[in-house]
Amino acid sequence: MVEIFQQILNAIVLGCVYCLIASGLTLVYGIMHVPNFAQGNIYMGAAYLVFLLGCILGFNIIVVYLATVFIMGLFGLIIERCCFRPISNTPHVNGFVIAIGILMVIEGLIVILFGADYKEVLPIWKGKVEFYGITISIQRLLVIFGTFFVMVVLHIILKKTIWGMSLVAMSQNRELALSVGINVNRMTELAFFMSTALAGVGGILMAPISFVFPAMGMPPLLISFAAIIFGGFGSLSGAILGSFIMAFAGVFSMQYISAIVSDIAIFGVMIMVLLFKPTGIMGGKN
Amino acid sequence: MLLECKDIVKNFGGITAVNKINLSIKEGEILGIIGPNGSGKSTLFNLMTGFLPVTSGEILYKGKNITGEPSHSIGRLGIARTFQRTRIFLKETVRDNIAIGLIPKMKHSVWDTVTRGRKNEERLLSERCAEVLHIIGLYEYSERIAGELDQEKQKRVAIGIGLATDPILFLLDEPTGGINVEEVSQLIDIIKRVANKGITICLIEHKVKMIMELCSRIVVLNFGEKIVEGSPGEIIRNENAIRAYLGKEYVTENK
Amino acid sequence: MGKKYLSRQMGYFIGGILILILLPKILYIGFFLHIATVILIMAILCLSLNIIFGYTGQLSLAHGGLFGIGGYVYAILSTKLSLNFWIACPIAAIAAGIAGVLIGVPSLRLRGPFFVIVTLGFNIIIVAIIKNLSKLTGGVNGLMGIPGPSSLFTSLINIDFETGFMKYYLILFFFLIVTFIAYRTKKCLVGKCFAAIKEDEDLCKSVGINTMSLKMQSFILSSILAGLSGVLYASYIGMMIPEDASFHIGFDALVYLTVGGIGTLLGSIVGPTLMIILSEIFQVVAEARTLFNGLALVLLIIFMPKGIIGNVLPLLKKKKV
Repeated sequence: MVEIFQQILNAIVLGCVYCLIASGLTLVYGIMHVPNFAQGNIYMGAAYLVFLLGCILGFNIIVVYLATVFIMGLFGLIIERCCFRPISNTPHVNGFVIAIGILMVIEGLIVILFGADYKEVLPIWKGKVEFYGITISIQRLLVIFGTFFVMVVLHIILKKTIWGMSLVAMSQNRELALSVGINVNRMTELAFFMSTALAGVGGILMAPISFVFPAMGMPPLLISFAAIIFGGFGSLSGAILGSFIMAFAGVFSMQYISAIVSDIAIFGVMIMVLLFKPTGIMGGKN
Repeated sequence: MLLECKDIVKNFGGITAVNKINLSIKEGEILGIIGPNGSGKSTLFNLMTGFLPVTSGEILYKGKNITGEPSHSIGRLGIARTFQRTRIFLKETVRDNIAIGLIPKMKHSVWDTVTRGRKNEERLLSERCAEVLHIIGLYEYSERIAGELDQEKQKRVAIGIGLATDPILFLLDEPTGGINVEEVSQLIDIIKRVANKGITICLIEHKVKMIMELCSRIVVLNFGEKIVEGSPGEIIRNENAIRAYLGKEYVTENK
Repeated sequence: MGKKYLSRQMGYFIGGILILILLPKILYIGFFLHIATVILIMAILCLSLNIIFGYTGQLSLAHGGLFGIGGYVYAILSTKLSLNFWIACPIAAIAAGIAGVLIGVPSLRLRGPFFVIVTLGFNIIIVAIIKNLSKLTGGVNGLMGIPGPSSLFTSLINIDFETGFMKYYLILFFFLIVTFIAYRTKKCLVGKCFAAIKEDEDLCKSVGINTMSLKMQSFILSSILAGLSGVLYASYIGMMIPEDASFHIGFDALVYLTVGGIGTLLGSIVGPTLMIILSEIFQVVAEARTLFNGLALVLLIIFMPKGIIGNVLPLLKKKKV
């Protein structure tokens, strides 16, 4: 019984990370129709940045966290300006390919600077919390609360601020948004900034919990995309729901079947959904 | 009865785009569908051709139920269509555009690449393409890139692509959308030529001239429902039709 | 203009083949010949990717995995079952084709970026499977001592496939065959269908073209050829490790193809030639390869998305007219 709750907690933690990455993906894909395949490696880059600034250079960890999220956001701005905007009038495929290029550049840089082996980031607060026989490390608790906090902030931004509402308007009808006077370029920059910052939050939260290694961005990338497909393209709530479903599927199949099958199980779920409901659970246009 | 729509309903989330429409298209006729924007006309075409799944209702083609069939099967059955927003292969030549329409009837798998000679194919293609190009009046433009032509010619290419499939029923979605009045008569002639080949036509249109000259029967839609149907003469005198299209004021004015 | 252009094209083509045939005599240093052979192997992979991506417009990131399946199946058949190259090779290529069916059925229902991601997922699954079937595949350590083709018809013709020369010619032979297949595919009706699907899939459906079937055919052909390039790699290098099935291989092929020109035939050979030679000149070590290729890709898409051939060829055509 306790076992199951432990697993549930693990799944929630994992789901939080996927949720952050998936939300970022949805933001940018919903508005720009650009699939930022590099999102997984931005999450990875954030983890490495924490490693570099916090563990190697030894700066104050809170400063490191804030700086990393901000730097990742900035990076998103840069790739929007320098890579995606110049090609916005060319065929969509170019966006796919350039995203892969950015993905490769990030991984290539990391491998050269840090090597391909696994690094460890030490948690700020060591120690665990116990209740009803279930233990959870403070760091993991931080993930859950941190994600919750960030998602609430995101919700407020999207629903209550002018910027957020402009973003939502743009995702529904770009031409209309333009004609109403929304500064499309500025909004796109904002979307990218928020998107990569979200991945950055994922990276800083996850770094102390699991190992940091160059390939760590791929599974979350795939699972986040799967979450989006599962939840219905373009729907933020669908992405969040999908993330947690994927996380639960992953954790429970890993526990009760096997680790390898777990990878396959997640894709299996995704493939099943695709075969029977190509528009995802929440429906919506493709 | 060539095509029958029985109690077709289409819901999008909370919006009912098509609400229990009953429609039939008789063989050999030119049926016009008119109605204000958003009345469900294009949605109806999408439902008939399998581009959208119906929420409820049946579509019968030659007596056979084709509801829920994939769009390419419906294309194979002899139902061709054009799209409201002109859809053609902009990067290809006009002739190659037409050729695409011919392909489903020819052997075109990867295996055939290995096993078939190309000379015979090329000859067949050329003949049929030339035929279609003459009907739409674009024979001189065969080798031009479709994307470089003006809107009116592009609309003709779209008709040509559908013609190439040798259809029995041809659904035309606003074939004169965005075309000015002078060029409309050319398109009217082309559609007449198509009808003369024995092809049944169903036409979504806004231009009164088109509808009056071409259609033997008209159906008026509004808010996803069929308001009235009848001959052009009947429709133009029908209050409900005028109200739907032009608003209440016109009804009282023209009385 | 038509006939003259055609014979000029034939001239270039024959000239190109002659150069490729005479290459070993020119590059008498073994290392250079080795590079040329590797280029040809990658060119075959690029040609295969070109069929599903360049012609049909579906970007597959599973080609590294398909390459790996070809190599591994050949390795297993030739080492564990001691099968002859000429029997093991087609079986391995077909195995890759079967993988293509399994991947294609769920994936090709998706459009655009979702197809890309799902194929990437499948590539990861393939590597995971390879690593875990250790009894068969040697697990993380891979398989060694993979034989190349043995002498062909020793009683009639005694060709020793052990020399660098013969290895090069064998791979050149397959390269020319694959080039021919790609050329035929592009020119025949099916090629027109692929191009039409790439441009507007719904329009194709409205005309009665079964786009799913055609996309599957394209993907299966592409998979078989990718598997073939894997077989040639395994038989040439003699060794297969799980990294040889990684999505990085697929990424590299994408980079090379983009450099050469997506959708063009020549691009599949120009791209890898340029990139592989450049990375040798700049002494790009294995670790830096991803960065080098990635940068090339980003810069190329921004400044020259049609690749070398894509930008150069129209210029040449304009001059003639």
